[in-house]
Amino acid sequence: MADISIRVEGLSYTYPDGWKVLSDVSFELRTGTSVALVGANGCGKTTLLWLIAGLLEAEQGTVYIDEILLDRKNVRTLQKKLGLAFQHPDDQLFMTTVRQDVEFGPRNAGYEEDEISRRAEEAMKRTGCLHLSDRPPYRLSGGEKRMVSLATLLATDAEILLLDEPTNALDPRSRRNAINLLGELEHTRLIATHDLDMALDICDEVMVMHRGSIAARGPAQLILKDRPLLESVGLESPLSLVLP
Amino acid sequence: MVVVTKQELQFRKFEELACISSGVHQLHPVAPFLVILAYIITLTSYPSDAFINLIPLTLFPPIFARLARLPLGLLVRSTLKVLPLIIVIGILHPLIDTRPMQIGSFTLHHGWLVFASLLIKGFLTILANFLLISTLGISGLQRAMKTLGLPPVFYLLFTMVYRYIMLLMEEVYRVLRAYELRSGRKPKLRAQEWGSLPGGILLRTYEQGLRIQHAMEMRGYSPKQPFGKEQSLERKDILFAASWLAVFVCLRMEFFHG
Repeated sequence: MADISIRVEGLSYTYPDGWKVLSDVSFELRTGTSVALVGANGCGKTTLLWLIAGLLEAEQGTVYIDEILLDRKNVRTLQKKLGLAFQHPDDQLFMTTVRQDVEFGPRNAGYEEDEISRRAEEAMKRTGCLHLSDRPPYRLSGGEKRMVSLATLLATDAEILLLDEPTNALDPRSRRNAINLLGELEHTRLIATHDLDMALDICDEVMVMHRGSIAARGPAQLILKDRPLLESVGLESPLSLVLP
Repeated sequence: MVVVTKQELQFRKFEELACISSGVHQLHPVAPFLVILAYIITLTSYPSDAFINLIPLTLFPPIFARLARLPLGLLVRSTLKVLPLIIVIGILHPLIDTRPMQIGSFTLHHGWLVFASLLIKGFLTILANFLLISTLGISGLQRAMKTLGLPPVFYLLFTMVYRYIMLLMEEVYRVLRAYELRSGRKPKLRAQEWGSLPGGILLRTYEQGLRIQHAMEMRGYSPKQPFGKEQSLERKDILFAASWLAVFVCLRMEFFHG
């Protein structure tokens, strides 16, 4: 495993309708760190995650995963190192039961049945959704779907997690469970989020995005205390820093 | 509960039935697949007016449903919803084919016999397909097709169509529910809304389909690899398939000799 898990250089992306969503984005993520990607709606967080995951092709710029250039030829190989949690878990859960969904990744990786079951059990146990294993994913609550979608990633060989709004629409207890889980993980994590309290809780660093560019980057404590900066990009200080 | 939500829940039921743990569900997917395929072939191989000969075949769905612990009532109700289509296809027979036929003391047009036969064949064929999907689910169907040596493009196409229809149905129900809740609970769309709604539904379904495909690819999905567990064929699978095939062959031979 390289020292730098993700390196992005001069990345730009324009949607087919002409909307330039990312402009000359560059940064790198050290292996094992947890970095929050924050910014107002539509600033390009999801697009950036999709570009890193190789689901979109950059108009300009390059992405390196473990210091290997991501291109058309090796995208499928490098995707094995990545786990992407989609903004809406419904996009991620497509099998008939939770167990089948969690087993989907290890099965495609070619593991033996015993290993597939072991990985799925462990991932479901870790995310607290073992009791849901025989239920259809579409019958679960939002919080349960979110935890199952995380389990589907943990069962794979992904070393880098790209998480899009992982605490979105969760009730306080489910949110706390998700935060605890994400905080315990040893993977390199890039977390696009509006939940600044979570970022403060579990992220080493925060990257602030504004209109398709990185406006600031630094230690979570420092960035999230910078009220003028946050307000200038349409964000507010985390409640835990505002409340006495 | 809003009407469309009830329908939505029912439409998802087939997938859930495929997760039941019954003797038939635990067989290798190719066994139930072959049995139902043979049933449909037997059914459709009878001449168009062999109404009486079809009657023994009506016993298969209840027996199979019993073995697979499937709710026959639900499957029959779902089949009945497709019946009007078969009626439309066959309704002209009694009007065109007016040859008289003597059945006991009754005389009726030959076309009525053809129509009744078509109705039964259509009903049983659709019911058999529902039994199949409720037993195997999408992953079992893929496995069965792969075991039978069908080219990947075949089951890939099948899966894509099936999944797209599922997504499309979900999106239709979502839009109809939103419409129903904001239209004073009038379930029918007004003519002027028919233009924009289908276009929006198709685009949204396409986009969601794309996102799901991305999610699958991110977890190593390859079109050549069917979903679900690898299973090897066992003696019980062969016995199950062979027994039913023997029954169908006997019934069909009976027709030739009887």
